Amino acid sequence: MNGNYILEIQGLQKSYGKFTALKDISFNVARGKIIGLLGKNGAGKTTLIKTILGLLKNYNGKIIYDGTLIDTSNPVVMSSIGSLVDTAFHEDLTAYDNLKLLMMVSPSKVTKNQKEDILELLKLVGLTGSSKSKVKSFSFGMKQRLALAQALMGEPKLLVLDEPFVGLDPLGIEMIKNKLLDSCREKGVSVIFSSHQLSEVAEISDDIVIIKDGKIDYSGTYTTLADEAKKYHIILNKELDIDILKNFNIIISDDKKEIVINHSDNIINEALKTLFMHDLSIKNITVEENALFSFFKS
Amino acid sequence: MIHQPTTLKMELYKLFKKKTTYLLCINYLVPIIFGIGMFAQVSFLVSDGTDSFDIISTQGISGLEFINNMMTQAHYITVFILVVISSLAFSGEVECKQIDLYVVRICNRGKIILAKFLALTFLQVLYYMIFSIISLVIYIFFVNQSKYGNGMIYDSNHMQYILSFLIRFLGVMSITALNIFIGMKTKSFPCFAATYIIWFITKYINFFDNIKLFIPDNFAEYILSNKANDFQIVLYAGLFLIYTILSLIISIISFTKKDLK
Repeated sequence: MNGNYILEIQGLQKSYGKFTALKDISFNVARGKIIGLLGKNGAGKTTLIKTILGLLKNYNGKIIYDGTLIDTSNPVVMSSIGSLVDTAFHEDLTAYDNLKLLMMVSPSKVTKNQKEDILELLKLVGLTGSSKSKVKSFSFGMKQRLALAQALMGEPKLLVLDEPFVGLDPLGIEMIKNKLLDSCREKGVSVIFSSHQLSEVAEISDDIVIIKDGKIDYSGTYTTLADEAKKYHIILNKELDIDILKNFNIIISDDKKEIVINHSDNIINEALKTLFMHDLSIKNITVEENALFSFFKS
Repeated sequence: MIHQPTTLKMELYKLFKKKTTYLLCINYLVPIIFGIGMFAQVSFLVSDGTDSFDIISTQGISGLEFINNMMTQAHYITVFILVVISSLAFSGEVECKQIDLYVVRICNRGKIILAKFLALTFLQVLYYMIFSIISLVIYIFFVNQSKYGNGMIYDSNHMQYILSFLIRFLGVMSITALNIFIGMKTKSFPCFAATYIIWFITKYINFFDNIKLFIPDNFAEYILSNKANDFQIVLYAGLFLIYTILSLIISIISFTKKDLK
């Protein structure tokens, strides 16, 4: 256990019958940091989030929250974790009523002025004017905002959000992104969120965890991942004699006029020197930097 | 610390904010229609056309008997609506995943089931109280002004009516608990359909003499026929309570172990 981490996941494994949805997942969430969970549909992101929140039972491994094994039966502990999972509301009730219902069972808010707190939350997510509107009249973006208001209720230490950007327009994405960044900077809240929005993950996450087939495929900073996935495409003016670059780990196109070099191999300078030495002029060099997309594709 | 009344209060707040809950008000038309029908002597309004129940032929009824008759008339639709409300309250919330957030916050799944059951029971008590009051008012102002009223609120059979009602109420409670149990495994519509069909089938178990009294509604009718003794009443009431408690315990255990995918 490490005091720097609000959440530590150690060797987490979750199965449904014979199907193993999570295989030995381990990573940490540092205090005040944002972790982006990435993965294709069915990779195990939602399973991981629901396991952390105690919605899924009978798992192997350890989930340590704030220094101790997470106690999902303790309302005080769980009310310090804000969650957005399965954006589902009582659609025939108003936004105010939906928040009130949740507030009625949130321990930290039992004795406070509920009405003011609810209106403040609605203001925070830009839904002040819709507090008395029924949720069924809300757009998807408004529902996501309301879900974020639910997650932010009770001044959480950790936010666990499943697809907070899904279905949002650019303004909505910007709004939620800013709220998450504000929560981190101003209140030291840690965030773990899953997303398909690659650019948003890259933009706001301090660390990225990529899940593939229930296993962690990558865990680390975006910069490292970007460097690992960066590729140079070099187009030559004439055909390359393969033997010239035989000692380098490169990919050569069929017409022998294009070579691809991985940035992580640290050979770009050497390769260019060798090409110049052999009088091979370069027509064009492009750098492929869309690291997260490359990971997503793989 | 959070405590049970808060969860119960939340469930009650939710229940009374939903429009479906107010479907029960439809039943209040039953005593109104029958009462006015008796007052105006409109036979097609006060007779169901069968031999088993025909208010017109019942001369000189008391207020309590009128309430009991009206409850019998409204029973099918009452159970139908209560099962709809109950299915939406639990199975519907699990199906639509609305329950997830509350499971995370309340942290005690047993408490959630218990609070839902108690809120539904409270609703049923309130419904029957209002039903009784409306029926009584209708009796006083309409039925008693016709040839069908005998001018008395109580009559010599008043204990049978009260006990019969209480047994029927225990039956409604056990159906609610059964509905929650079925809702553990099914979506809201199949849950509603299964519960109502089971209740409907059990109504016709009265063809089997050996087991018919194990069904609350049948035993309620048995009490009305003056055949039940005190010991039997206590015994069967206890049995019907066990139905409820057992269904709730199994539901709580299943829900506590359930993966909310």
